[in-house]
Amino acid sequence: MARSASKAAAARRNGFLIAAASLLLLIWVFPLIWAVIVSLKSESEVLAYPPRVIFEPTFQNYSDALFGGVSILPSLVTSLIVSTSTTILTIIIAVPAAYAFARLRLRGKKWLGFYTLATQMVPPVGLVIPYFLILNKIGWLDTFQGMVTVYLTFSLPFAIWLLVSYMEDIPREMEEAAFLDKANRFQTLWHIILPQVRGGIAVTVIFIFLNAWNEFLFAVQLGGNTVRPVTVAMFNFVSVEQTLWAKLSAAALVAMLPMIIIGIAAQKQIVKGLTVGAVKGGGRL
Amino acid sequence: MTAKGHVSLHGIHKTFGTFEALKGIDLDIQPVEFFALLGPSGSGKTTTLRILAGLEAPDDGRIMIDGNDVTGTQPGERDVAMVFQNYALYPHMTLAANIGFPLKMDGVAKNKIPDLVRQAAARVKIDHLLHRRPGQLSGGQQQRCALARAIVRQPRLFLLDEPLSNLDAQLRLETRVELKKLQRSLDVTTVYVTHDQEEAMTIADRMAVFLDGDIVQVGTPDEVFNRPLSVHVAAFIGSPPMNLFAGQLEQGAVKVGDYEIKLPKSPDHAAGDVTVGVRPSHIRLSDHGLPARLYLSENLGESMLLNFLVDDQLVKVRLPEVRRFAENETTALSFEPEHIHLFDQKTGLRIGS
Amino acid sequence: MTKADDNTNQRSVPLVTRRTLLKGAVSGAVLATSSGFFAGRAYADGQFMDLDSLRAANIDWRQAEGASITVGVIPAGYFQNLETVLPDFKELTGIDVRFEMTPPGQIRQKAVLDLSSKTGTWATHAADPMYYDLYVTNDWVDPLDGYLGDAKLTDNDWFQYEDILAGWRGATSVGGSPFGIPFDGEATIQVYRKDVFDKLGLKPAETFDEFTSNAAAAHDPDNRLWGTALRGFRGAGQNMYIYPSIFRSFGGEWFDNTGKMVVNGPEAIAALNWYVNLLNNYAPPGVENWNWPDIADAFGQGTVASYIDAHGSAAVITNPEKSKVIGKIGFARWPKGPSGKRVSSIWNWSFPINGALSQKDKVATWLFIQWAASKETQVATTYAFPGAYKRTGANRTSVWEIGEYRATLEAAGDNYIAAATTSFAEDTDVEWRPRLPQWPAVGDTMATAIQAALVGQSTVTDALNEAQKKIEAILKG
Repeated sequence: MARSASKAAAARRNGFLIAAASLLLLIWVFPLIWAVIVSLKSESEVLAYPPRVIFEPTFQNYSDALFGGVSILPSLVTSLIVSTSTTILTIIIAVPAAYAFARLRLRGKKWLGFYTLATQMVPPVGLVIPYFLILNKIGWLDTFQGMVTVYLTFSLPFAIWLLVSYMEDIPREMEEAAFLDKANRFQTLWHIILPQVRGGIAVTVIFIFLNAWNEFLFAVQLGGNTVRPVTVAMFNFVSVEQTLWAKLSAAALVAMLPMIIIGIAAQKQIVKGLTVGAVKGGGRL
Repeated sequence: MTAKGHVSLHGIHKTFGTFEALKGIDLDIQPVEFFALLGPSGSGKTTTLRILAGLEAPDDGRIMIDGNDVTGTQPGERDVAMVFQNYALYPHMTLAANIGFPLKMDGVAKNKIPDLVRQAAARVKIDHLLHRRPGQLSGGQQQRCALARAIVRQPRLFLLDEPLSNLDAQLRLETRVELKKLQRSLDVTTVYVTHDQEEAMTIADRMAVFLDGDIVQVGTPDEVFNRPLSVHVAAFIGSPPMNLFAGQLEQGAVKVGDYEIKLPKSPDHAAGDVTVGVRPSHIRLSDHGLPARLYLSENLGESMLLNFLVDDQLVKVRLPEVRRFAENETTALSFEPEHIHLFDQKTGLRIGS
Repeated sequence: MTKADDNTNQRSVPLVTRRTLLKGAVSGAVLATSSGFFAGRAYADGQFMDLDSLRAANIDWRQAEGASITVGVIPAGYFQNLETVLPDFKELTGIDVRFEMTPPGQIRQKAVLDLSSKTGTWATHAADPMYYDLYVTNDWVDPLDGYLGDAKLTDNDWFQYEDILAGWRGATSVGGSPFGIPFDGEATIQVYRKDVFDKLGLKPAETFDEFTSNAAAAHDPDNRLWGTALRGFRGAGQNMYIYPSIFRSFGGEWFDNTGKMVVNGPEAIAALNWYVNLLNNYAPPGVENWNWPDIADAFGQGTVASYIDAHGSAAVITNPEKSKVIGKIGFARWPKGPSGKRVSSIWNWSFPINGALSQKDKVATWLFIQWAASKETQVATTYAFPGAYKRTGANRTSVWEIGEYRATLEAAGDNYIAAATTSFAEDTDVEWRPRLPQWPAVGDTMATAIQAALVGQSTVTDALNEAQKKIEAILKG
């Protein structure tokens, strides 16, 4: 009797939780759905009132955004190059650096967290001018290497800081065991440490790629005709004569695709990475 | 083969910050010996093991293995294997990969690894679990896996850091036996760190007792138990440890309070204050001796442990049979001269043989 | 979306479909299919214009041959048309010109960054007229007197600098000297629903009072028709685009006779009151977040009866893909304010010369500017442009008089050309906005005050007093 009552209460609670979660999800996903719908409408239908629920979907906006007069395709390629290079370089440099920070008794280790926060705290606008002057001095304005280098200055401290917390969670004995098993430092990093921080690396990759992909301020000020990422190119649809909502939505959704693909591909690792961080390194994250 | 695994440490010093972990120890471990490093936590035994493994570098002193100075060499170059207290299994690898890892790192041909892994696993009876990952195993199985990983390479030196401390009591007793058997069958020098004197006594061929960064005694379990070289060792070894009384050494006898015990032969020591040690199992209840009042009795099943108060000092007595006692019952405690250990009250060192 | 000034992006020709934005060089195939009338025209050797008529200028077009310059522009049809015809410039001069499309919200920052650090990245750029004081105060751009007066560089008999709309020339000059050459611009005009006005017996407003009463008469929110709309969004180029015209129409002066800037005088209070009351009474809800595209979209959807904004917004409301009010549109001049003045904006995009360039690049840049502002190029990028999109913001009186140019605009609606050209000729006001090196900060301060008053965060008087205080602090430095 008592048990069935508490069961009913539990069911009610579950039902409530599901409803609340659905509502939150809906709020979160609504703009996305809206964008999808808008991207499938013709420009005239976008502004129609009342909004038409039934309409003939068209992929014209997508083909215009990708292959039309102001195609974002070259910019997508640019964004892909910049973001991928930034991410790969970040990981290549940050993993050993984080390992060093986590394991070696380095002086200044305690400053890493502060420095990382500082790089995230400085308003980016304040950095545009120095970066502009430096890149100009070395002739790297509007170059891929210039843009990636600038992004690295933000992504590296952040990535190292993040990865250190994951690496510190691995017991030291694990490495010592590897050393005794005749592994050198590199083999230890490769065979023992890296596989265990895969989740952390996945999370880092996502953060770094996402930041580089969505970055606009530096892209517009330090880029140009050669380096013109999709965040900048998107303005083709905002300021040419009028806001072309349908094409803008289509372009935005296309620009979202790489993130979605990476997100799905790395989902398992991310969940693992986030929960490991939450449970073990919670205080540090 | 059997000559492999001779270890000697000379004047090893190690400090961590201001803490002096090892104060210049010397140690000689013979090939194929099962050698225990025994001591309370912080006494330096684990540091010694880690220095042997190459995981810590000594500040001073030399480490020799089979006549070669390995003081400056990397852990991987010493041909030693180690089992860690928490096993340090690689959680992302199967047992097979865990056990095979040292072989892989050692450059053993790929096609030979599976057989060697299976053999090692079979020795510790986990060959049916090879496809599992550490997280899917019980503590005992994990411990065996760590053992298998250590033996698979047939190292010349086998280092065990409190390998049984994470097991429950029952399993600990079983594994203790198996470990000893395994070591015998492998014929490999084994250095075993433990804080559990009973474990050291039962398993080791010889042992070194550590106290505050020094080795205070090296010997067989028998020697250490029966002839503790200092009052500290005496107080550390045995369960429960030796009872210690303040006494006076006189001509041909020693006095504890008013209780006088005649000595068969006079020790080579000046008369005066000494510490008198008697193991709990060597104390008899009798009608003469030290007057004592029963404070608490513990029934251990086949024997009894009685806690008496002599004046205000707690004295433990092990009785080989079980009887009923009333609390506060008074009696007298006596012991035979041959069971008495005498220590200098100032230096704490053993007097006589 | 963009906070900064993006007044002018809406230029397009009436009845143009939107798939018309050409980018990059137009291939022959596109030309052949996109415009039939093009076939009948034959140019000496240019793809888009008669190079011989350019060569008639008594200068050596090839004096900077081999130079290569980059030009910062915003992604807008009028610059895309210019980019399309660039091959003819290369043919004429041997100079390589690259356009760098930069979003309107960022082009000013980027130009300032480039100019202040003297990197010379942009030889010239699409410049906001309000920025010339800043540029000139810092000596970042070259005075153009020397270029215009040098017979080696300019044949003014051919170029006819004075043919460029006077208000725009004034806006790009400082202390009487030109520092930029206008390329494209706009006038602020009244736009109204002819059908609604006819039904109600209304006429386009001649005065501010009439504008209010027209809005009141047409206001019928129950049937989704609001009386009017003006830019409400906060920004130097949004609400500070429309407010200065109102302020000036009320007889306001930005500076008193001691040269001190005053934004809280009686005319200012009256002007802001008029704006706030009008929008609060007769504008759709949310107008405080509206910029020009929102106004044009709403008008195109038939929910706004009248508005005042740039003449180029006709592009949206006459676009058959977006608009439901085609054929029902009327245009008129800016109504007379209480002071009797009509005040159109003098908004235009112009080209200055970056002072950090080498001498050769400066010459190349000047040749580019002269070419882009010339009548030939204006024609080639407006009505004669082979794509479907034709510019409507020609910089020269003479172009506005060409029949073919007028013909492309005529279809927008009643009185379109007359409203625009009269505004250019009579309603432009060089003192439309306060010209100061500190304009960016001053403009933002005013924008904040105007919006605060509009949404009722503070009273009109308080908002302006607050702005006055802040502006005094800004100007003190």
